[in-house]
Amino acid sequence: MAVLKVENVTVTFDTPDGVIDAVSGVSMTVERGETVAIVGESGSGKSQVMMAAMGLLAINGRAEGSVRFGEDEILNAPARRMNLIRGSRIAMIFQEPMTSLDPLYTIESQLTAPLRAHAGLSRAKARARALELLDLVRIPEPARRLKAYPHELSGGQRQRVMIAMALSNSPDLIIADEPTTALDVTIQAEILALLAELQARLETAILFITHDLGLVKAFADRVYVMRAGRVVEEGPTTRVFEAPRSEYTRMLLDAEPDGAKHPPSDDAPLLLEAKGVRVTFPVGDGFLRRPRRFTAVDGVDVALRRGQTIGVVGESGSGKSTLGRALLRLQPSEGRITYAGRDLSDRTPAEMTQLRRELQLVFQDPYGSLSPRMTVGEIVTEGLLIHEPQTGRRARAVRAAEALEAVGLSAVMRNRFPHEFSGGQRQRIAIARAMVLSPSVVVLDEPTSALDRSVQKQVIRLLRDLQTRLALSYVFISHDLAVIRAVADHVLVMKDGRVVEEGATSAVFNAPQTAYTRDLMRAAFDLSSLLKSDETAAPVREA
Amino acid sequence: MTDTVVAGTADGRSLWATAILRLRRNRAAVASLVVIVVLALAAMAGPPLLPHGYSDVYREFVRVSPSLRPYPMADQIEPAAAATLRRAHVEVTDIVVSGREVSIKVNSDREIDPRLARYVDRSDIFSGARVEVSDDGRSAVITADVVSLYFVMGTDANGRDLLARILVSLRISMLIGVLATVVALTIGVIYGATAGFIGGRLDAVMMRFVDVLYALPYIFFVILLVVFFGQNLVLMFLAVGAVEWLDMARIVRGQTLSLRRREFVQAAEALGASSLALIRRHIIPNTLGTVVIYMTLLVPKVILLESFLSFLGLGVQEPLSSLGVLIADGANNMRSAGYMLFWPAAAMVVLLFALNFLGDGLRDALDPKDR
Repeated sequence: MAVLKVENVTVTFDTPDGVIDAVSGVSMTVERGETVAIVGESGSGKSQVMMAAMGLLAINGRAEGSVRFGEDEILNAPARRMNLIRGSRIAMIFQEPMTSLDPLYTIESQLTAPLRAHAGLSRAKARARALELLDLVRIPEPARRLKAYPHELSGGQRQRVMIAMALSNSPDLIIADEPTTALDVTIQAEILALLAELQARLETAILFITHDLGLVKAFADRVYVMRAGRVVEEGPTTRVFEAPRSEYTRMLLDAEPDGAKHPPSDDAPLLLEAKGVRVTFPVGDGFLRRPRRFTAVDGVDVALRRGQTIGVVGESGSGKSTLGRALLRLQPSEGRITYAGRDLSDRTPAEMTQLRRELQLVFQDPYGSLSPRMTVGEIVTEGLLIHEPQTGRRARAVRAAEALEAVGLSAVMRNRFPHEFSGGQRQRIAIARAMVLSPSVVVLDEPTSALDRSVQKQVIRLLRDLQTRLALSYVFISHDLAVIRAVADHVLVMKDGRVVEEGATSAVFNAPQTAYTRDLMRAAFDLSSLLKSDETAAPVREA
Repeated sequence: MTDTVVAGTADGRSLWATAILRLRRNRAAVASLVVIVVLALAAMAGPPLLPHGYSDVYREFVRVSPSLRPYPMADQIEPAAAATLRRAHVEVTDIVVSGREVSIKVNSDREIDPRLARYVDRSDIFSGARVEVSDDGRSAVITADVVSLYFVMGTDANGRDLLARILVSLRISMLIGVLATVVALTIGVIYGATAGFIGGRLDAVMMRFVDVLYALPYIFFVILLVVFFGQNLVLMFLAVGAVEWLDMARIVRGQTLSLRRREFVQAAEALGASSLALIRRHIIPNTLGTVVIYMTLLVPKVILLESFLSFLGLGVQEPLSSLGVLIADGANNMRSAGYMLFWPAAAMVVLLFALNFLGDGLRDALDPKDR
């Protein structure tokens, strides 16, 4: 019997611009003990279907159709009745482990609250059960962790706590909305392995919402592919991956970044060279006491030649972004950095200004890196205002138009504001801003991480075009190995501020030398084998 | 992207140009803007056009209620005419009022002096008195024109035209409100943005200085300023502004601290923008929404603060006036002459409503995300 049966659900939002259809006529079923994935790019309505089913739509949202949980119709059910179901028979796990736990309460009080509310356990019994749950999700030293506050746990541990919370009342269904997107690949693999194992044991159905086809392939029994509020394809995972019927699914499967970067010729001049870069941050307030220093980057050497792309890979906290900023002297550092033979290490900020036009930076977040109160034209030409102040208003408008066209946007868009653009378009704007000054070195800090795969592919193609056309050198920072493999000809693998492995891309990817790199590769490219091996390798501990 | 062929040749539009376009679409804001402009024009150009100056005293018309018909009213003319001749040692036998003319018949034991007309003329409400003495010289007929004085909003306790006084008050209050707010805004935004942007030790020192100023009883501070530099309207604006910037500085600093970490600020830094350019182009425009809202709260606050100072005798001085002073006056006379409270209060309410709607409209217009 189906645990959850969604029939012909539509979701609309009333906005000042009129009614927006987020979901139009979606039907899906989840059987007992089954893992079903909903996959789609941002804006496909994949999250809204479930939000509607759970009665968690935004205030201006309206849902119609039918959602049956077992025998009960739960769509638009009154809040009082939904509260009995939510958290006890259907549990949800959200994307952000950083924000879905309340920072003011200990893990214990957050874990025991639903137990006492739904199951009516006493304080002592709830505590015992909480301990059991933490052990179940394999948090080390569970007794000590109960007293901890969320900020004392790592991202992966927080997500484990969320899973423990979801499991606390033995639900029939867990809805996991991008549960691992904010986590590093190795931790993602651990969390997925944990979910798979718990599911096998507790026979809970899992509805898994994601944009990542790699996860679906490794994890789900059945898959629904959504696009623009509709299901375009459904079926068993193996069938969908091997013989996709819809054009869109084929496109998604094909959206993995491809191609490879050829290294520049051996006589290409050395542009940017860094030796022994070291960045430390003070920790604590240091009042009446020497502050401890945290070392973010520890003795890294970089040698970037003209036309080269160096990929910097690493998990969060590995110091790769800090390294990028240090290379551009946006972050004070020790060590020697030279650009085209000139020493940058001891230049004052004012002296650096001259060089800034040749050293550019593109950020990860296309939403945060564009000022919301400047038009696109102003954003793109800001560099001209600084480095070529003699350029007149008209000339700037012309340059803005040229730069926008160079990144594949229409010149007439320059009077609009950033929020009117999609993520991919914004990242193009950010690239145009860096390119308008014709730089020679561009540091790209996760430029494609916030984008959908298909958009990612376009942006990578654009960056590649610009590189060949303008003879640019890139330092490409990313946690995404697939992207690095497609764009870089030389790779640095970073961990805890140090380079653990370095070499030509093909060499590093085909024959990784260190255990850490091998782990990364396996988590990124071979998730399904990892999940299977994990189940056998780590037998479930009896709680 | 279909309607953009024409726009392709146009110059870039800035935040402000777009804001004005948006503001024009907001009906409440446009109406408010019109109201404010009308009030400002009336306050600046109105008083000279009125028949009565704001300091002219009409002793016969103390606290007369608002009326569209001219004063004196028909029933007031007869007693007023009798009163003029009370000390003239003549016996008034008959008073005939015809339209805006009055004729008074008088008798006397002695011979009547034609200079009797002066008694009548001395009054504010009669003019051009002519005396026709009878042949025996013992009786006379005095004819005089009755003036027509309009007090649309009545008069105050000293017999001064309330309309003229409201317009003059509006002038003072708007001036103080706008100037003090501009002073507070300029100091507060620059100070707060600088402290928040540079951060570290300088920020700590700058904000402690603000805390020290907070600790001063600020009415006392303004009083001191006034005592030292004498009573001067311009000084008042400066004093009030110099006190009110503290909140603004804190608000802007808080916003700056969070903006400072945003990627678009770092992106501009990576482009090589100087600190000044960063503050001017990226920090300040992004604090505008909050600043505009605070500004619309600040204007009424300043107007009220000014009326408090005036009440203490430190603000504007008689015969000049401000809305706060008029309202205080009106409150004192509320039972006998309610209109004395009503009209100045109405003027204040209209002004503040208009300012609020305009502020709301401006905030929305300055936020490109809002539609």
